Amino acid sequence: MIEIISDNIVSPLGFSTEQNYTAAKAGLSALKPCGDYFAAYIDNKMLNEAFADNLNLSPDTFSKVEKAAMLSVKLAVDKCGVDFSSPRTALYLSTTKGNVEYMDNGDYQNPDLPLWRTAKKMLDYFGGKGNYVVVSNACISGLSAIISAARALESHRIDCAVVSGVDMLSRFIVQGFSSLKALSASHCRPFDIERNGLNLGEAAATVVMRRATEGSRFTKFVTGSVHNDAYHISSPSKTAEGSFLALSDVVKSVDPDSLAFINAHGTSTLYNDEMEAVAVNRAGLNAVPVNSLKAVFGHTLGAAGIVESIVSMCALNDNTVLKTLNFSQHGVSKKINIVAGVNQTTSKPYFVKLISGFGGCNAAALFKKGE
Amino acid sequence: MYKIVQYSYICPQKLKAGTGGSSYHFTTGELAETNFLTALYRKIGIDYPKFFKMDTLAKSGFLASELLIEKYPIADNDKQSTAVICFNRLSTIDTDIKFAHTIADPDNCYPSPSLFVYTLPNIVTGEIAIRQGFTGETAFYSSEKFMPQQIEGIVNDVLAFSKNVLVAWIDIVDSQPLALMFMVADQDGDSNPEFNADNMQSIYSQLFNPE
Repeated sequence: MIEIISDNIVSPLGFSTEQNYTAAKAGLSALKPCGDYFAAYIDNKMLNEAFADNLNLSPDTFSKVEKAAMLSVKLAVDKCGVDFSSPRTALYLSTTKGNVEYMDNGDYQNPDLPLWRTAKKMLDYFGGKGNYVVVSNACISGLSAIISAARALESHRIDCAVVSGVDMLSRFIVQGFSSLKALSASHCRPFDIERNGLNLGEAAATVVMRRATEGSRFTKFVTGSVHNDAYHISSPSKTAEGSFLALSDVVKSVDPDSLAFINAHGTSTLYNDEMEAVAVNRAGLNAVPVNSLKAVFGHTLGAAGIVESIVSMCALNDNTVLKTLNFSQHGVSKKINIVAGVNQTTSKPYFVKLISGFGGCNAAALFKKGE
Repeated sequence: MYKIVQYSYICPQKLKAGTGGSSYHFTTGELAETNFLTALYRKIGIDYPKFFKMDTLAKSGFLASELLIEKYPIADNDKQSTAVICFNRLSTIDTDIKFAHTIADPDNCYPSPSLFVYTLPNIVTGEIAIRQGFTGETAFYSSEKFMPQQIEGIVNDVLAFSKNVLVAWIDIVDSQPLALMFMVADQDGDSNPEFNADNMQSIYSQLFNPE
């Protein structure tokens, strides 16, 4: 089994896991109106100050993506210590669009546009030996990277994985989602009858993983699964094929009654939330509490799978099931158990992270409470 | 033992595409009026209109998978455990530039949703999964260069729970595609090369290195 020995979230709600979890638990949101859409932007000045203070580097020569990711990795590894100089330590970087913001300014030839350049720049700073993996699997990238890293640890190819996810809201990304008519003009409402689209958010998040040691007290990553819908490149399957297969894979070894909650993707688009309800229903998990964190952080793209896994780990270890902020009236066709109104308490040992993305990809992972 | 049971490739620079057993050759005359990928689509003789909506990366992966599966069809029972894992160097920068041009002028900004979808590199894995009905794992990774050691490690992990894995290196450099796709499966006997970094590298070098 794999354990998560340290983590960090850099978001508009704060630059530590604790600040982010406390804000989510208190029902706060990073999302704000930005003209004709809602979004969550990290303040540039605060990021630059934290970057300079923690990394002793000038913020001027790094992009926002690089600064957020490097700050997140630094704050995560400072808590546990990581030997980046070991060839058996690997950096996993999860991002959908990396430094695409350079293109907003017409810079189409910038040498830092390739996604792997960001990973190499990060390794250079942390003294890594070039052992990196870059995962770009649309919106499931973050969980894909955690699953890929866990497998590399389990097959003893590496001894330590630093898994970091990041995306910032370039004009490129906002215009793209806008062209898909996916953005809501108001604060998103996952699973609600009135939901009408998603909100985008900026974040970087990092987990440090290793093979669990005897008597370990850390949160465990138990298993993960990735399946494609084989249906459509930009709409989810009507039968939730991939999501159902991934979810079924990860829960097959546990009693459904031991699941504290399923943290869904819950983007607040009509099709995604309906598809996930079908997946949960097909898997026979209608009684298990389901929540979404999208109204707290927005959809943080390549960081989403990591941000939401970390906040869910905090909740599980705090015996809490977080409510779905902004959800009021059931708006999906299946009677799944969406956590409404207030946070709940739980003493159950497991949660599932569920996530889906363009290209028809879906992932699920099972996590177990720390002791 | 895991074997490279077949492979396919697309190499416009050498005017050829094919599989381990057979290849298509193109003349410059043939390519005067149409691009390489469209010419290859016609030579293979498939009818899949969605092909024409794809970007160059997706077209390349799609055609490489068509060449591969023609030689190594996947049984319906195995489709749920067939994975598609792709790697490249430049993710979707070629298509990103095209999309960025559509939004460059704020007063004349008409972003294309169909173009935007193709700015996600893993779309190629989805296109192959849709065409073939594969509901196994799909994933996309990016690295500085063709790194067969990394590919071997990641794919071995996927083989632990998959019957077949389509493994591809697909890149677009200066608008020119280059694709190499392996079909990897557990197989007895000595007829096919073992799936490992050395064998991937030697097939890559044999196909793409200057003659």
